[in-house]
Amino acid sequence: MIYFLAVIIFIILTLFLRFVIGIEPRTIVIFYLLGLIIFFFSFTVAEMPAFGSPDNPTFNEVPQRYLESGVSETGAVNIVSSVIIDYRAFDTLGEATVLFVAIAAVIATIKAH
Amino acid sequence: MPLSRRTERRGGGTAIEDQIVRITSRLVAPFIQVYGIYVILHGHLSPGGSFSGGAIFGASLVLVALSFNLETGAKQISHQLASGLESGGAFGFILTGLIAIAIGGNFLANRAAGFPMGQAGELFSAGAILIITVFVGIKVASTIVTLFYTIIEGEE
Amino acid sequence: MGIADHFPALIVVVLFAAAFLSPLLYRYAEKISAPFVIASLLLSLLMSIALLVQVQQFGPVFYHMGGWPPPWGIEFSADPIRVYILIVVTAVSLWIFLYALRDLKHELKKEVIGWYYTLYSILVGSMAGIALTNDLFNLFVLMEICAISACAIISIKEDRECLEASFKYLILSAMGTGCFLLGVAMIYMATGYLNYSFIQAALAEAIVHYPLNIFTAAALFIVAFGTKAALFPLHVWLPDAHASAPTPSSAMLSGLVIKIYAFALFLMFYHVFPRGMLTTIPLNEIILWMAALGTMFGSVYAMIQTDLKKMLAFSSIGQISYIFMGIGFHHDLALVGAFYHIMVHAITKALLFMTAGVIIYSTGVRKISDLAGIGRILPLTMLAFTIGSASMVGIPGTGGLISKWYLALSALEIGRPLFVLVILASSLLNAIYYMPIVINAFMHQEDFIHEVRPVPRYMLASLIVGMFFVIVTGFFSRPVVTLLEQAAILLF
Repeated sequence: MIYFLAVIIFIILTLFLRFVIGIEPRTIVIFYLLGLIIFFFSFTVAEMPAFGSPDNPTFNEVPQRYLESGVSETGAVNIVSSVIIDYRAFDTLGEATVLFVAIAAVIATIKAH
Repeated sequence: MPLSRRTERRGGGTAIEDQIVRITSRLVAPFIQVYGIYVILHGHLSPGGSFSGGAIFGASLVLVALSFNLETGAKQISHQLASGLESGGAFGFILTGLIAIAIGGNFLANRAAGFPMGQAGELFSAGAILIITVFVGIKVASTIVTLFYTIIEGEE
Repeated sequence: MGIADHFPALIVVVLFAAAFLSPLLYRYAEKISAPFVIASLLLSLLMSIALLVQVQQFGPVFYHMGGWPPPWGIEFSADPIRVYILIVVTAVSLWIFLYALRDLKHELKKEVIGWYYTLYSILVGSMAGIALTNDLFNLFVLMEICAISACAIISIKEDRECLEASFKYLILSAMGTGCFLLGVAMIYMATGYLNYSFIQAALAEAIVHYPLNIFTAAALFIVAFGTKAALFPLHVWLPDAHASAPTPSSAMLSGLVIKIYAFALFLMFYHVFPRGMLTTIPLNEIILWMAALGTMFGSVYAMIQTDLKKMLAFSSIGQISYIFMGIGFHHDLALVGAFYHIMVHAITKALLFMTAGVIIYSTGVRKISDLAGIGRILPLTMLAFTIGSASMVGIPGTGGLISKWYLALSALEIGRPLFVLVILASSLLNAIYYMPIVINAFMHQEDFIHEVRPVPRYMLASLIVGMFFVIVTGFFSRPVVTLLEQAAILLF
């Protein structure tokens, strides 16, 4: 019964979108595909661990060490700084390089044209 | 002299010659710059750090260049110098990492390489973190200025 | 600790440092800026070779950035396969750069050449980093660098077509990077780690609690790397981008950049996902069928092209699919074939793009039909083209045969003879579109009608180097294959 209703609603929605609002068939297909992706993603989201729960896998020894010995190991009171510029400094070098290469790309493109 | 007028520029665009904007921005700019430097230097102590501080400092230079004109802006920091500082800042980051190798740690090591750590919570502490923050701050500030100059000059 | 212990980091850092300094050098000391980049490329090549020796002698090398051990810090790891990719990247990019020195002078404006050097060395550095890094977020950062610099070396040419192609590439590649970041976030959420080895250990348990998240992450990874490496239905950006770019950029993008993403997908499959996962859900099958379609459609599209560079670009879609096929077979011989093909195709496609560049430089001809009779005017160039296309088809004596041989062998061993037919059919298709050009170039009765500029010796020397290596990979494949076989066995 519920499937029958769903199909009816689906058909009515399609006809409505196409002929009442006047959307292109191509756009309707894209619309449904995106809906399908959202449908599947919603299951994934439902399965995610609860936000901020202490049992989450992310609360393991990694943030623990950052928080407990970050000050003594890096000397920085700001934990964010101690992570981005000491524990994971190479990522920051990468980010600085991203900035540099973005500017280089802009300059090169503007100068060339 | 009228308080505000628009003049035709070479490229056909108009530059604002507004006394209120000019005087205000000239007054405010040093304070913004000091604040930018503060945010960069206190990166290891308080929220903020190199990226935000650099952006604040760069924005003050863009403000001056916008409210006056490019020539006045270029007196503060020229395009050449800005792009030189940009390379220099990024290279300084790498150099700090290489110094860590030279004095016996791994690449980008801080305490392990023996950078002076100082007293936690003071301004001059945290060894390589402070040095890298300053370099990245210089880099980000000059990046914003370079981007601004490049786009403005590209339009002309 | 000696300096040799720091090689994994230094290989990447030397290239980045060269990139940061070369705009300054180009402005104030233009003469030494090109030798400086060459020196840094050479230095990283030498360090990669030294690293290979080190890895062969003492086993895999792990390098902890900043001295922080893995779950806290970033780790670089060097095992034989990674170092092999590293050597291919640095060696081929050095060779392409030597060609670029002469070629760029007529393709780019003078004031942007310094920026080209910058972008080029950053691109090589980021690819070396992708080959070495053992950390998912670090991989993401390096992929960003790689994507932006790869777009910039297309848009640097003064040409509206390049701008459009580069913009299309930028958008699709940013979409790929976004998918990858979402996948990394899901993996991190489910395991709490970013290091490959730690993730692999933790996923075995996490997959019980969060199966959908991990499958979604796997799907996102396939889309991300598939887009960036131009796996068949996601290839739409490639032909324009690779065909319109300046010749050295085309050689670089077709030869190395798409391969490094295929290699990153291999790392995800064999170093991040737990061993059982590839057999329980059909990730391999998806890759395999996409690749099989890619080999066919890439060749079919290439056949109907009229522009030489565009044909080479479409041919890359077919060739990258062999590498994905090798990953999808889930068999050690197939991996040997795929990795050998990474090297062979990097050399061959770079050589073919260089010959296209020489032809365009010398005669200005881009249309395939106008190439008739060019073999008598530019014999060496067309000889290089002949050898390159022979390797693409897989004629004995060239490297292309070896990789196809191993792929076909493993297809038989896992009992899927259908894919042997696919490989044979696509080789045939390759022959159908490469050979007529060669035959027409040499056998055409009428004379070549276009004006011809003499080709600089420098460019010809690069072509000779390329021909030499295509033949060397065909006849002396044993040492490399042994290295790869030993490394591939360990993965199963």
